Amino acid sequence: MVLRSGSHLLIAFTFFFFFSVLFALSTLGTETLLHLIAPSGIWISLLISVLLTLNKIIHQEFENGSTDFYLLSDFPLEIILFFKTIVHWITVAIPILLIMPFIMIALQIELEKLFVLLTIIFIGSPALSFVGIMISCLTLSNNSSFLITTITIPFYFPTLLLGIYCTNNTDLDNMSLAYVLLSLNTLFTITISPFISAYAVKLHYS
Amino acid sequence: MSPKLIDTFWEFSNPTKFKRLARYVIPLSAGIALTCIVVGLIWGLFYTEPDYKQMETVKIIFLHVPAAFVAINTYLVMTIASLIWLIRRHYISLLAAKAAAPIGFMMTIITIITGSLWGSSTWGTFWVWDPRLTSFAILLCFYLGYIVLWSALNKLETASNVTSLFCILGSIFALLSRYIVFFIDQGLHQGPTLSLDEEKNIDNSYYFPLILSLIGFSALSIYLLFIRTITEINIHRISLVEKRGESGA
Repeated sequence: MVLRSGSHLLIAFTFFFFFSVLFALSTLGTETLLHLIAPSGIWISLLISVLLTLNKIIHQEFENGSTDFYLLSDFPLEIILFFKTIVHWITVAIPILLIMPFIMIALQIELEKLFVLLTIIFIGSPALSFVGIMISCLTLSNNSSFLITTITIPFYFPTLLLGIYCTNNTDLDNMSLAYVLLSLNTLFTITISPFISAYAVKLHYS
Repeated sequence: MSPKLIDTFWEFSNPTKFKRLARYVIPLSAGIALTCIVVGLIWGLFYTEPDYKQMETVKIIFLHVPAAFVAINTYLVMTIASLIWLIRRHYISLLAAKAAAPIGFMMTIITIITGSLWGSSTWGTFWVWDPRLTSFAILLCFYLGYIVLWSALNKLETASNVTSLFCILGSIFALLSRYIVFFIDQGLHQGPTLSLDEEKNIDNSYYFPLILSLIGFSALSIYLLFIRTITEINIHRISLVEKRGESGA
């Protein structure tokens, strides 16, 4: 269904591309500076493209009445929301992972790091989707995407900090703890997100 | 705690009983706050020896540490109050959480301003992205988000659940970010000033005025919290009366 509505997928993808290019351009070609900010650039572009697509998932369905049917059906709301978030992650993060090699060339990151970088983003990015869906479920009553964006950003601090830390220090040896923490962070958000979003949706209807 | 004591605690969910309690608490906490802050600050600022390394600037500690203490604990109070709202639906606790947010926000600002004034003379910079400073910036973000959410949603019926869930989730994620920030680097801020371990504690000449102003700041925040909660209750009642008037007409 997300594929059929389609358009936001392309927007997120294009936005990520434009934002990375913007980061590269903002250094005015200074390579040392580009080396320093490239990992942060990738993470922040990822964050913005996730944020942009968030209100499409929950709010659109809330407005066209699909959420009412989810509540009426016997199927647990938690599981529906869990799969919705997975779909959101697949449609937003996977295309971005696919063009990562080209972005890396543009941002002057060595291609040997490709596998490590892909792994880190693959581990870290589900947390972005899950936290985002959780917060957008909270703000069902208010439709402004500006509000959602504003109040979601503080919740991205843990993921973003760990992600950028991991991406920045790929050559260090003792990084295993940071990777473990990053995956723990993701697992934690995956665990709490469906329950809290379902709780928030039910509260909104009660 | 005996069950009877818990029952008396829940009685204050009745606004009238809460107001009766407030009639005793407000003057009491105001008195304690005034005496403790005045005595603590005068003692601290004028009757302690300047530090041999930091000179007079060390005395900003008497504002900085209590403000930080209150800023963190106000968020804790907000979280507990939001939990009580979500579980037991006493709207006073919701209004108390709403009333507490600006107090904590101001205390965070005071902590950051005093800290950066101290830092400018001791570290030579107003701000560094040190773990402790970063975690206060994060705390500030969550306070701001909470206040913005209240002002955006406006109505009590729509805002109540959202803001309390935001507050509870915020406390989890703020703690998470704090530990991650500490994991990433150790920074140059000194360790905790007050601890239960005797040997790590600061010198006694600083200890007592600091404790006094700590008590004073806590009493001040309780005083402000009660005043603001009473105001919120009155605003809520007025809006209820207005609504009844509209539906009646």
